[in-house]
Amino acid sequence: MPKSDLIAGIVLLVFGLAMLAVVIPTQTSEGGDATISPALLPQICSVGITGLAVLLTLQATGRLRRGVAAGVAVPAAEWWAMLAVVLAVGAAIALFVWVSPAVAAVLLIVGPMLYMGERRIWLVVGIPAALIVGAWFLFYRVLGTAIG
Amino acid sequence: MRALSKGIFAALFALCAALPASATDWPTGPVTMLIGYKAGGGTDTKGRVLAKILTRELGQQVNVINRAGGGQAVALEGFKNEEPNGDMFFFGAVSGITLNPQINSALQFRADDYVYAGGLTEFQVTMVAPADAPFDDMAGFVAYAKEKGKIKYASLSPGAKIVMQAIARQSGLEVDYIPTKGGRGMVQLVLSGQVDFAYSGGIHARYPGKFKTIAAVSTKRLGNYPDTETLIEAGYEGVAIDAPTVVAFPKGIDPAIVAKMEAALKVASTDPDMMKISKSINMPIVYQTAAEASQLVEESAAAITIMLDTIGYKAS
Amino acid sequence: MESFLPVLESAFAPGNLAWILFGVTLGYLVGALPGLGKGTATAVAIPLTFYLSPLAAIAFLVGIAKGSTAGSAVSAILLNTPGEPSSTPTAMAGYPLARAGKAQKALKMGLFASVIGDLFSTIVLILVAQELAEYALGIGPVELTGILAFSMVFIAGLSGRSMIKGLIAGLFGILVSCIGLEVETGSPRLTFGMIEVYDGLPLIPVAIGMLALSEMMIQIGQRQRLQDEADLLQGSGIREDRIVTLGDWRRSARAILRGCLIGTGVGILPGLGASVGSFLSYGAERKASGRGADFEETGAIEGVAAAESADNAVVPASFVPLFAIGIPGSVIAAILIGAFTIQGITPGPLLFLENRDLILGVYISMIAASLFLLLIGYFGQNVFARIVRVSPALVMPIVVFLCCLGAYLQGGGAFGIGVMVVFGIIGFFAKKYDFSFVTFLIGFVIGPSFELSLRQTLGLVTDVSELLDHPVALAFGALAVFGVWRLTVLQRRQHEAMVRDQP
Repeated sequence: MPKSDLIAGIVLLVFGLAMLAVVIPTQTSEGGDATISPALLPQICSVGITGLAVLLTLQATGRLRRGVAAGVAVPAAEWWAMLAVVLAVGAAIALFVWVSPAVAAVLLIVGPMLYMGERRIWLVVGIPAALIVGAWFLFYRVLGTAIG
Repeated sequence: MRALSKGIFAALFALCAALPASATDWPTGPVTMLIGYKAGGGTDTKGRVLAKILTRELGQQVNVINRAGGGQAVALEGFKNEEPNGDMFFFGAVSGITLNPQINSALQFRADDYVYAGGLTEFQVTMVAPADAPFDDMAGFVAYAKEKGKIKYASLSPGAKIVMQAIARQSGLEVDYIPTKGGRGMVQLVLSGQVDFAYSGGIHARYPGKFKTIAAVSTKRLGNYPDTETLIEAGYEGVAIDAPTVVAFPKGIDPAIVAKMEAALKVASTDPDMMKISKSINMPIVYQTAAEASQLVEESAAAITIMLDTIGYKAS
Repeated sequence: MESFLPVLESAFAPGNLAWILFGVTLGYLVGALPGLGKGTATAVAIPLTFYLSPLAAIAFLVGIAKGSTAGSAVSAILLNTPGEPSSTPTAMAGYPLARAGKAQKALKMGLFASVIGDLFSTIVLILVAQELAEYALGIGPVELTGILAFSMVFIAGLSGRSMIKGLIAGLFGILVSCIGLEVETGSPRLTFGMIEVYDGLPLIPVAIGMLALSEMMIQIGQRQRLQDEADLLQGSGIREDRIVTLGDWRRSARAILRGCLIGTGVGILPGLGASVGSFLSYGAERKASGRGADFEETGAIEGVAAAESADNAVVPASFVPLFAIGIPGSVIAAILIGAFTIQGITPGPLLFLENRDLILGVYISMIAASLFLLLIGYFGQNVFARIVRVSPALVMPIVVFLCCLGAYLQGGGAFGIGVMVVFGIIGFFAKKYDFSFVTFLIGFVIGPSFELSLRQTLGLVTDVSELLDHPVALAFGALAVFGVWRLTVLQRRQHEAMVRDQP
């Protein structure tokens, strides 16, 4: 039985408490002469999130006890797709910074294409080439704006 | 003998001519202009006009790149670590270089991390009041503020707040600081009569008949307001923020590249396109040589240090 | 009057018309691409205007602004990937329609509503810019605080099935918007030492990650099912599902009219923004229809009409304060200032005196742009509607690339792409586990304006009795309180109904 609401409630509870106890005290200043302390708004939000997370946890526990689903189950295929996109873009950022924008763009386009089962070679080569040349022309030639 | 000395002389002369010649090959490829504000803003607009002129003068494409954030701090922090090979230069207001590192201890860059190739225009940094304000200078303002008890001040940036705090500290004024974002937020507060006093980067000149210019915040009088006293002249020692726009390279740059850029900026300062845009944004062209710009940065940074000491500012 | 003819001549000069047409086409194209929206389109096009006459340059940019605002409905409806927060409601009501085989109907209604909203707002701009601008100036920080509070409460009503999760998402949005230099003291807040976030997390990368990239993650995971449904997405084959019927017009007329008014009103007030306009209009229609969450489950043509008419009405209306007093009412208006400046023109009170002919020319060009929009949109849609026939394995990688490009351009380089990925992951979780990304975005977008105007109010109003001088603020404040009360009652009723259903 899916119990994602319960997990979400507990995670958010931990998040809210961590914000209040650690992050906000170390990452905001008291601000002395300001009409409202810079820390006030983050504090209000964190208190709200913590309180609502408690409610969510209680609600989910109640449902699970009654034998009712609390949340949804996400199929494995969607987790893998999420991971694949994150890896592709993450690797593209690394290539962008350390190698070159063009190489990053190739990976970014070709990676997901291959992942999704595209094997027609003229498309795997043609689409990235067209996009990159198009972007280069637009930015460097027409607009005089650099990328990188 | 004579022929020999003549030959040596000729050789020396050739050598002298050849030395800078090796560096004046710059630029051999596209050059990038770094701007610390978003595309479409005032500095960006002027930068793009300058990029067009430099493309013509340097004979290579000059591309603009925008890296906005933290009042140019984001751009400058990264720029410090660029290779000093002339591939990238910074264009923006000096105040971002002099003020930021002094009010934010997290920033690594300092004004002397860069080499200045010259200045082009100057933000008209001023203290302003609504046109119907019953005072015309700082003395009048102080008297008015004392009579009123507490005045409302539109504070559009940390720098704007520091200037007013220094004034308030020295003259014993009570001030409500109304925070606002950018020049247009300030204009809105003044036009709708919500505040008594404000700091302007020069934008108020676009609203004729709505503002009074009370004092210049710069160390010397401003091009557009020759008759307006500076805060220093009004007796506020060290209370000044200078904001000429300069071109800077990372430390370690070949002086010949700086010289070539300096010459190109001189041409840009008389370019009709540049004059047109300077007029429309009310920012006079104030050409400065590399030496003048460097000296101004140094003096301006020192003035800010005094000002921060006056109010006992603690960098955050 | 005698000076009017030359103005007409210059406005209708073939060169000028061609630039408007080019602007509208380019804008519509860029807007229709997922991950790119009006902000990106207008900012990127500025350098192009160096080479044009003032009128052509401004008309070109106005064309881009109008085209991209309307074009963003295309990717929202067809792919569920809005390019900007303001077209999110269009996706909410329109994508289900596309999934039901009514993509063409939704696209057409979106376009018609856009053009009507745009035209309405343009006419308001032309007729009463001066008068309205004076009025808009009277809306100070105190009033804005009231209006923003009301908007946040009102839009919280769109939070989806679970109010608790919706509120958590909204609070999280505000919390995330706190990142950066705090506006009053200038001290860093939740920055973890990163100077890139001093001006706050960049809006567009956060929005693209939350809206478009997360959607791509989900769709790539469900590509098998999407491939199977591709036939249906092409259309049901029934003529009624391809066109806007009289019945659709009847259902949407009220929504469009309300959208025009809300969009124009929001545009005139500096500091609210297009997202507030389209969400308010959408929420109002959803409430008026009495259909509730059903709106997003089966789709609603009147929802598309409400969102798009308001979204487009914001654009010309946001030029009211720009032309009349020189203060921009939207991001696009702010970018236009740059374009005016390059051309040596100062927007503001002097504009009507010094450059009267130019302004008249701009007005005529704006109306021409509205008509071009209708044309380009109508024929362009046929081309875009074919996207759904292309295999997802080709469309989705391109979308991911475009998302990265958009995030790069508007988010300070590679950093922007990183922000987009992080919010893509958060968006994936939010969408899968029903934490409303709508309330998150509204919290994120409105949060900073609300905090700023609240801080200003506390500085300006030193005594509670002074609040009596701000009746508008009090009225909206009261409406906000009333809204909170209504939401609590509704939530309790929902809860009771749920308990009854589950013995």
